[in-house]
Amino acid sequence: MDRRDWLKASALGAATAAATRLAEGATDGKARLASPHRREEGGVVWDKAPCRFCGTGCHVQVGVKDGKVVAVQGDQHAEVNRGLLCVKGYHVGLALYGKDRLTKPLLRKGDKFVPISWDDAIELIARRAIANPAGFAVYGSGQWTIPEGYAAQKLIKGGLANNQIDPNARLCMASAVTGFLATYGVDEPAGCYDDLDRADVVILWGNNPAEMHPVLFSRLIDRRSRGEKVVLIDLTTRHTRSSAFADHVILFKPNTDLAVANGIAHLLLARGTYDKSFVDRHCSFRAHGAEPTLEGEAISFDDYKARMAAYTPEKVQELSGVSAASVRLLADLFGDPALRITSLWCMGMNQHTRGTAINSLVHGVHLLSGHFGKPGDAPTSLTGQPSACGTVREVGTLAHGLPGGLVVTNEQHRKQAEEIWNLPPGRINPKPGHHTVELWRRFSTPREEGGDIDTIWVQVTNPGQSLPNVHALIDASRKLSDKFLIVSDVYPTQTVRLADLVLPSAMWVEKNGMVGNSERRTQQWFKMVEPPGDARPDLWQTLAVARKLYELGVPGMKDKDGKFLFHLEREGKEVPFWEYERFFDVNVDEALFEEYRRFTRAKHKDLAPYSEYVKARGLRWPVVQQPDQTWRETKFRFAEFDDPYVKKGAGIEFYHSTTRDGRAQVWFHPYEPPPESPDDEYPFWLCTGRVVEHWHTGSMTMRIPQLHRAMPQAYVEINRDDARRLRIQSGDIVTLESRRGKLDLPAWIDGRGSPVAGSVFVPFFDETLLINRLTLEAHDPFSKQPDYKKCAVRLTRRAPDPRKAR
Amino acid sequence: MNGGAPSQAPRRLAHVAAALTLGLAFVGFLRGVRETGHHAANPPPTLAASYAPAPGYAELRAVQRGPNARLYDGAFPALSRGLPGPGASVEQPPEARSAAVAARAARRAYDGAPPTIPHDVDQQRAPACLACHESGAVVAGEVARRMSHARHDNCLQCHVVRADPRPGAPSVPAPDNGFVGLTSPLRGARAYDGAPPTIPHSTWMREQCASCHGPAGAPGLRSTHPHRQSCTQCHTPSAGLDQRELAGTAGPAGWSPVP
Repeated sequence: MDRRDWLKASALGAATAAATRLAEGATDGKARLASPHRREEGGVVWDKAPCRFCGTGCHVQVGVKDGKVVAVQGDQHAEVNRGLLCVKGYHVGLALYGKDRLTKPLLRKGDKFVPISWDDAIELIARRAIANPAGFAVYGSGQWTIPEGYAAQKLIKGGLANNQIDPNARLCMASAVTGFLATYGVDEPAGCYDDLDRADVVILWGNNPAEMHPVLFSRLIDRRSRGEKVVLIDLTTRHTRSSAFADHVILFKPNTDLAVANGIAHLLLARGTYDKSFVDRHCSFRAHGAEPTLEGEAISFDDYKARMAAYTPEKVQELSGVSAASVRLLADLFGDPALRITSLWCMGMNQHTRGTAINSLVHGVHLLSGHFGKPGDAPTSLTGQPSACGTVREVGTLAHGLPGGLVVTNEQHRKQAEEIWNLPPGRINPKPGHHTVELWRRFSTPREEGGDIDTIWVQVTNPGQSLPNVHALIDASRKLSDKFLIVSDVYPTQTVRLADLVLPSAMWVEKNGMVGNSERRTQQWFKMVEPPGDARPDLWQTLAVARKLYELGVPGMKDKDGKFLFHLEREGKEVPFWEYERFFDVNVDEALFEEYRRFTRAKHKDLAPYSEYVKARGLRWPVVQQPDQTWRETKFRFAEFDDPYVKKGAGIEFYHSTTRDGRAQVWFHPYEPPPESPDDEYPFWLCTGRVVEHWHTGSMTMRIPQLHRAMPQAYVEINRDDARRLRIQSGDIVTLESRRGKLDLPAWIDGRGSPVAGSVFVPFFDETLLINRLTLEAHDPFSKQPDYKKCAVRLTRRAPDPRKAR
Repeated sequence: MNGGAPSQAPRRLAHVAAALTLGLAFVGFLRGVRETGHHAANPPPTLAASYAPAPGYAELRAVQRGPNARLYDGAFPALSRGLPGPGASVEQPPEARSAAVAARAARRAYDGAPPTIPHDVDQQRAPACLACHESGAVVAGEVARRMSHARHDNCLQCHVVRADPRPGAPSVPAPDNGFVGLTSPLRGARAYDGAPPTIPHSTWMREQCASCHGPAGAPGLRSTHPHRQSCTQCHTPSAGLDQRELAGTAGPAGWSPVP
């Protein structure tokens, strides 16, 4: 061998070693799969992952050194965020390292928790399910990864067949789902974030994206500093950071958004500025008959027009407090076909006792005016959790759902699911389980009084803090000795404190995962670090319980060939992934995803193979294979220029129309007063919500020093005039009291937000100040989503500012 | 009629008075004409010249009026005059670099994290961050650094304050967190002694080198040659740190599909 050959050989050897090290992963010797995006620089291994927090779906670059996350960057290759993050995203790595991570399974013994083994914990859960299969429920989350939700879904719907599974997303976006179903016959937005790059006008319907979806908000308003014109209209009950950037801030009385939407429709009809050709070709009209249903009954255009006739600008002004001029301004914009208009909404319209109605009305205004189906012209709902869309809506982990938009009440759908799952015919129960509020009500009710749920397994959520009226819905169950609460979590949350059995979970990059964001984008990441102590992925926990049930002879755990429900083979041999040491021998995520993918074609929500998501920073469904074998995502659904499922020449086609004629439904819904309004006894509206620093119940963000320091405690925002009248100053302690509970909070006037007169606002992130003791569990009749935004409270100044007291 | 004779004298007087009045008026007219000519030729300072022209109704809102109208004129340029110029002499005490890096680390969770804000900001309205941070300024002896990245308007999306923003709120201890952030690299690599060091950190969102390394940077981080403005002419950024993926590397390496 001469010197040159030796050099070549050694270079090749070094390159191979480096490639092997990359392929095997620097932190997990067992990981068989590796990301092609992984790169090492200065001892830090970087790889892509979607952010753990909200539904925006930003991609981050995670830097790992010595087996720990040490840094995070915005991912420059991600179309969603283009390298930018928000303060939560930049600090997402710190969420793993709070000092009180749960590291051992714990069982309640009297007032104390004692450590038990994983084997005992798994067996205990299995025994509860065997003792009363009908009363065993799973309460999950829009933070479940797609495979986690899919496994829980299959266990409950295909295995135990009691349909008792519902997610926290019921509290979050269920009304958006029913709005899409009632209008288009199929769930999820037609548009995507690209609309924000093109819209001339953006209307925020009770939405504060400057704090809740900051990256999307920046994507929009940073267009202005590039010299583009974006008209931002903030329809709101509270002046917020988003209002600060708005051209028009239109304040309305709580609950009157329906009147405003009807006011716009009225003017479009009265002035003849609606899009006649769009309506003729693509729309039918709908309203409730004597018995309200989600599908409603057909009405004629003339009937629709006659019903809208009452909503004159003056009438709307009287109902909502929005000036007739502002209603006309909105109608002027919608009546201008040259503009591109995007509507955004989130909890304001969804956490609403008329959530389905207001969602349908906003879709209706866009359809009526033809502001639909062109880039920048879209009604778009935003989600708050990383996989509210990917897991809850698409995997269908709701009490009535099956994967891919199928439902248990439809015989054909059940057959489809039984075929894919290889189940004996008739296995799937046609009766939906309980929706969230009902599920927890029954768990908190004695068995003899109809409380038929006796075990709930909570995964990846914190109902002890996030349910409305928590005293009645969860605390009450703790006095009933036959009720058993199992909680899988990463930190000792409010729910963990109430639990009988606590399971320590792995989170985010401590496991493999897939999620789906607000714009139909499915995303994937690989495990990068080890979870602490004995913490294990929720997916393994679910599968281990399923396996234990199989071993204990539960018939539902077998498919029609007698094999385990989650049977997985490699090279002709069964893979025992339920043994934790073997869990990472295969990529269980990939195996479950490939099975799940078969469901997604039923409603044209086609997903690509797992490998495509490994390569991409997410893909928006339907992802359809092209003649050249590549996979193409769809940005604009129902529009011929982009959606391959639209008939050629149709222009726009709603191919899942409830009327089966390719048309969308434009609804009429009257304005009606809310179930609980302020009165003499409780004279103020209470609205709850979020702040930019904290994510939902704060179980992760309150453990991050930078975020905690910036916003350490909840408070109550009071309108300046109300505060003056009640002699309340910033810092004074105020007692807030509703018919359900009371709470002392410090007042903050003109702080983060300023609510309209007669209303107060409290953020819900603080577990030491549980505002959900006061909120109302009244919910929308179709989506069953409760209204956290409106209930009646009274306000008394309890003590002056303690800092001023001597 | 003999009534006509006695009236002759007053009539004559009236004629004389009329002639005198006309004469005076004529002289006055000539004088007046002459005065005007005199003014046009030598305009003295008048009241009209000491006032700005009255604004039109359309401009009225934009016009600064009143005794304080010019109070802040030049105030912000004056703030930036506190910053040393590119020609200022640069002191590089050897111990200063680690002190500067430690001070930087105290303001952020890890190297590359957005720094926290060391002063109060408006929590609700769009804060006027750019007034000082767009080009940098010295305010009350403190350097408000020029932002290191391109303009984004929703500043508080990434940068948060360091203490409860409610005025005078009690201080609550921060939670205990075991995260250990990536530390600032102290120096870039050099190919040989005397070669320009490479940039040891990502330049993403940190493309304005002068923000930290300019004349207003902390001692120890300042460039010794701030008059040279084209930094990447000599100091190369790292493709790896800057997330630049090479063509052809994005593929499922080591990945095997489910059979």
